[in-house]
Amino acid sequence: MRTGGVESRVDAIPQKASPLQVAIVALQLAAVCWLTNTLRILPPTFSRTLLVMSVAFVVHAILPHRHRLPFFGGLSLLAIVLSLGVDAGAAVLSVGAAFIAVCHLPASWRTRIVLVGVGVVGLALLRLSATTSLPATVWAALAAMLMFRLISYLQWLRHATRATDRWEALAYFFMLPSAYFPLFPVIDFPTFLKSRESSSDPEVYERGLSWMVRGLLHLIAYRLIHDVFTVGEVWANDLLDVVQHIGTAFLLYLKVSGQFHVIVGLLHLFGFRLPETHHLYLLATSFSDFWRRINIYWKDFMLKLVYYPVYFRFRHMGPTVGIGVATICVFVTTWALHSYQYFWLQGQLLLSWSDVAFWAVFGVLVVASGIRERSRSAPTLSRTRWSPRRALQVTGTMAVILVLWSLWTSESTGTWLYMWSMTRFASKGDVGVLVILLVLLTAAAGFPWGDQPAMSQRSVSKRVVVLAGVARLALLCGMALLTTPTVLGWIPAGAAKILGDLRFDGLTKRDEFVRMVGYYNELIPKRMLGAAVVDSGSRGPAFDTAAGWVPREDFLLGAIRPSSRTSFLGQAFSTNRYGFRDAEYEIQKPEGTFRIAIIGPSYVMGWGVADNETLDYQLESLLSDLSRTRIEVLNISLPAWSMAQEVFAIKALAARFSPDLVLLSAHPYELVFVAERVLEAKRRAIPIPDLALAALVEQAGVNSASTPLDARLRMRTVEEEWHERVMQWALESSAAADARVAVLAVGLPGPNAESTFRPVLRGAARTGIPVLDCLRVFRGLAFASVALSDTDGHPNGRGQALLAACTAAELRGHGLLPEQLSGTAPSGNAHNTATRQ
Amino acid sequence: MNSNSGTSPIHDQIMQFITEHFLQGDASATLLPMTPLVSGGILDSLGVLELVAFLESTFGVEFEAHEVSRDRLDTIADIEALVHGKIRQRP
Repeated sequence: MRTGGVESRVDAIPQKASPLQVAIVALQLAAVCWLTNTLRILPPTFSRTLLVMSVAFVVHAILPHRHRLPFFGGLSLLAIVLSLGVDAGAAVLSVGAAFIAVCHLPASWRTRIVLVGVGVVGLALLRLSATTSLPATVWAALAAMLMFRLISYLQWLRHATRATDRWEALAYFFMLPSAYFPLFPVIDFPTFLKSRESSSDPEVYERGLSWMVRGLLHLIAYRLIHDVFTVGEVWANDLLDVVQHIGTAFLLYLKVSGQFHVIVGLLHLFGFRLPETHHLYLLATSFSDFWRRINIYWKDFMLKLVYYPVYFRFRHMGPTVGIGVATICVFVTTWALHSYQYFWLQGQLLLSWSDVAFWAVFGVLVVASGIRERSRSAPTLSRTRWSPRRALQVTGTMAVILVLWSLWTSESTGTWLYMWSMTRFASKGDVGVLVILLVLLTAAAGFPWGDQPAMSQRSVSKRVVVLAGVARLALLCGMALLTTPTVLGWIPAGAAKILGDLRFDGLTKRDEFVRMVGYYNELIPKRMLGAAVVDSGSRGPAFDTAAGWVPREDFLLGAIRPSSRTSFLGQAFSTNRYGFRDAEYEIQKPEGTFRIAIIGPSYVMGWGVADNETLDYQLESLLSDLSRTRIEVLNISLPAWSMAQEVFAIKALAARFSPDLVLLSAHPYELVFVAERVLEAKRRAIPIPDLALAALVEQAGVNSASTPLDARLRMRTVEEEWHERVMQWALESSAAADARVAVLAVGLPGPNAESTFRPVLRGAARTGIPVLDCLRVFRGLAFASVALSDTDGHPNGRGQALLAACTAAELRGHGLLPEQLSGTAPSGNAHNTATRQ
Repeated sequence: MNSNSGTSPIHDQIMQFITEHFLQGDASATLLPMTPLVSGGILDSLGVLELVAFLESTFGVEFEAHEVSRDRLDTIADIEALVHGKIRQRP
């Protein structure tokens, strides 16, 4: 019918799948739905709609071929309404339909380009307008559907030799599941059309399902890396942390590759035999090879839009010049279009030096690599045997890519450079671990993993479909079952912790504090990450109102209203006449009483737990049960205090109660609290009482105009000295109060980076202050069993009890209790708790 | 070379070029008319340009930029149809 390729075979009739094959595929889709709902690794609305899609798949599979595209198109339109709601869905459909109509106006191609351009500019102005009432979800959906598909469609129309069927256009622009994924593979229109030519339904279904499962594995790996292994660049404290950050920053891209696999896999089930979106991109042997393997659809889009047209224009100057110029143009366009994409999704242009630097350096590397490949001076790598050259090429390429990527995803170039300065902290053991890791990875990279070219479409027998289907069903159901609370109870604690974390998609402290600012993470809205409200080291208005927070004009910065009886987060919240969340105590310590003043932030105050569940209450009860000595534990705390406030509180609040022991509490993200409180003091013109600490703040350059992030980064530069001085000050203050002092280090529920404690621990070690190590107290326990809620990692009542038990054990271990308690604990309880409220 | 019997000279020449240049002359590679060349990983972007240069010089045809794409050059059958079409259009 037309000149080669697409147009000649669109009406080919595929071999249909048998009812058994269809049933097996539908079952697998239902299992995918179960797994994604259990682990919440896909947008929740999409996971719910997957069940509808399972039914739709069955209908599609039994429909005659000619009705399939209209059915898919109709389903796509319906999905937009289901996903966005009627009003927003109608807005998206109207705008999309208007653009399609403009593409088909009876005018010259150039006129239509101009009209589409005018429409795009109009939309952009609306996007920028503060008065627009269109919700972000509408912009995300419009962006996914129109940003690049319009370009591909118009390009096709320019050279098309036949008219487009209206269902082809509708199915392409509103393609399921665009409405659920703002980042969607850039599917080329001719490729979309050609993908329907497959001759065998079973083969397409088989390929689609295997890609969907591969995508889910990518997403599970992403969850694991994000929640367990990620180290934010601002938190890297030594060489191992830096390496871990660089590796994990890149591997967060698994979220994109995972989603793309799921999307394209799903499209296969509706008859679109599309090409692979990613191909073993961790095994690239050169920079141009990496470009070819990662986000293949983007590479193809760039080839068609920029590379080939530019090459053909310049090839008269020789192929090397043509390739060089074309590649440079591709990278400039890629940078510009990434900024364009960012604009549609976020409403602002992305203009940062790290972004420019990334694309510029990467572009130069690909040009050099492409020209080198063209010279073909090097022998071709074996596609069947282990090769040392491949091993070195993969390791070298990926090492450079990882470093570049870490620059691209860094908060700023300054932060990135500062992170590198942390590599000076490296032990021989650390270097040894890295060398072993590098050797193992290099050795593995030498094998020709998946390098064999696909020579033909596989013909898939019924037996293969059944066996592969059963295997995938077992895998999907097994993964979903593995994370159920019942099964988690049967397996070892360490493994249960990791698997339990896989289920958790709520906000962890770490999501905010160790936030990755990478391009793709920024583009995936928080709702897609399942995150909720964030807490960045402040108390929040809810606490201030409920607890009656009142400002203080000294370095404590604030206090809780004394003698109050109120409710906070649904729990009784009472304070004594001194403004401590505690029982009433006399200032004069009773004879024979051992007093512990535990000073700390929110988790010490008992954020979200009842009065009789707080750490001090439970610790006092626990120690009193073991001792004939009267023991009192005073709770002197305020949310978001840094340890510097805690030390100041020794003199300002604790000393008059004559404590025998002061416990200072370190927070996993102490630096955030330090920066926030220093900034607050600066803004309120409250002096820092310790001259050495004040000098460090001056040295760091934090002032009242600093932003919280800037303050954090600046305080990072004096972090070691700060913690050491805080500890020294604690020794001096506690000595003046005639008390001993220790530091309580607590790893809160949820994924915590133990490495963030290291500066605090180093400071304690240098000054000889004992550390009560409760860093792993919640390890191996399901988050939900010890945390307040899915989105709040403060310990609940049980968590506080575990913390109290750990603290008691550590106190005994360090010999910090009265003599009679340090030895064999007597039974019985001589403690009078009558003074407790 | 793995040409099927009854194929055209154009087909055979294309197949021979691809086998020699991109499969290292591996006779065991079963290259069929519908083998996916681009999506199958046999031809990359540079390979496509080499193939285009070969087609232009061997068959005396000229390609335009928009014709150099996966959907037109993904199989030997696609390439053969494209070359045939161009030869037919020659004045």
